[in-house]
Amino acid sequence: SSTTINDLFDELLIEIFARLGSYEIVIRSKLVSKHLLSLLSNPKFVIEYLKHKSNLPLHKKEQQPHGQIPSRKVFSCFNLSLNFLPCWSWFEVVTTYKDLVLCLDLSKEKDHDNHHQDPYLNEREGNIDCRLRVVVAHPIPRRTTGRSVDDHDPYKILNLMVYCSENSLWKKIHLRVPLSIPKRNHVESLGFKGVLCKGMVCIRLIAHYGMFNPFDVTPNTNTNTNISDEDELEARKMRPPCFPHGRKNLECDERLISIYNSYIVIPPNPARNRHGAVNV
Amino acid sequence: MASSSSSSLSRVVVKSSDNNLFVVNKKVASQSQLLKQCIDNMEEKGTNDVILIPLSNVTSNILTLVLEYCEKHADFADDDNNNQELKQWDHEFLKKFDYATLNSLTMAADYMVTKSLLNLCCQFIADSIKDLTVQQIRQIFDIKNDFTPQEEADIKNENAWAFR
Repeated sequence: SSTTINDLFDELLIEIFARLGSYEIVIRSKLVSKHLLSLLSNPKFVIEYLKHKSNLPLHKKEQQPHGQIPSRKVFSCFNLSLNFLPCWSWFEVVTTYKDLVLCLDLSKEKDHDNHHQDPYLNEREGNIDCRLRVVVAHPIPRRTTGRSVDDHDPYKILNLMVYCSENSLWKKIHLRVPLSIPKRNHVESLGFKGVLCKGMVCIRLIAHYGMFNPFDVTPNTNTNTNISDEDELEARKMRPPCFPHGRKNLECDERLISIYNSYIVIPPNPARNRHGAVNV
Repeated sequence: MASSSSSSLSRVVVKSSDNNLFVVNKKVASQSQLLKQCIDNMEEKGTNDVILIPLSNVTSNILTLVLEYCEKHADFADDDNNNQELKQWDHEFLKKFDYATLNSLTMAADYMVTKSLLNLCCQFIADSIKDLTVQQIRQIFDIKNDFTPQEEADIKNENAWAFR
């Protein structure tokens, strides 16, 4: 009597495939059988996969094509060490879509001893700096841009690092997100949600949804700052969706994006951060 | 027996699914959290009798291998300096087996909660399939392709970048 891989418990299969070094192999393995396809497409698997720090693209120098700024460098300019994954508890899984997970990196929050420094809560701060990597987003204030912060500017800028699975490259994106929310009501619940899939990012800022395609770049014309190596995009306004509880779907360019029921609030006190479970 | 001054057990008997008995000393057994838990429970009750632990999911063949692993690792348990040597041994140990045995071993490690062996097996299997084609993975694990050509094309299409 021989044991085949089909006899292995699903958890063990996840354990094994989460240890594959390259995501390409994971995707190719989806062709093996329907069972494996469903298993490897499950957000549960992706989360497990991301926990193996060697799987992070940033740890793989060979994935950097010649002539490109290494992501290592990109990240050092944000003051982020590369060994942040071990403190996994500081990452909140915001949402997942197919092969990708969006996490909020909350580790910086630890250093904030008062909430005025919280980039989400400082209303005068016109810019929010967020990062997305495999898909990790990290909010830090952005202060040194040439852009003047206008109190009446109806936009907020989300500065994102987007990892594009297609070409294993990081892209720096400034996303202008319309901000027409009565300020007082949302002091405590300003946050965002988003999914990234195949170069498509969907950001949710409070009740406002902005969508853009990082590969479809239209440079912003009314800015003097040099953003030659960055892309500035304006979030397309979407009608405020009325979602039922639980899984939420958005349509964009004929793609259906599901936002799972998770909720991020960045309160003044990090200890009060909470989010719902990611439905699988 | 009352001769023992403390209530600690020195060895346990483990029974495989095909009813073979293995006498295992406590230090070796402790490599498995499952066995360790059983021993701890018995010691709490103050029993001095040799206890029998039946493992209904593990055959003698596989149990022998798990115990071989536990024995080696129990020897090294107090010694941090021999990490490299142990790693080498681990690798040689797994290299001998075919995939069917590896899979059974992985399941046994999971069942007996021997975390280091479980990690080792999973990493070993992952490493060995990473250079294989889809067809080779199917052959090795004896999996039937249950996709229609259309479905297969769809998946390839959807993830074209991975199939360049």
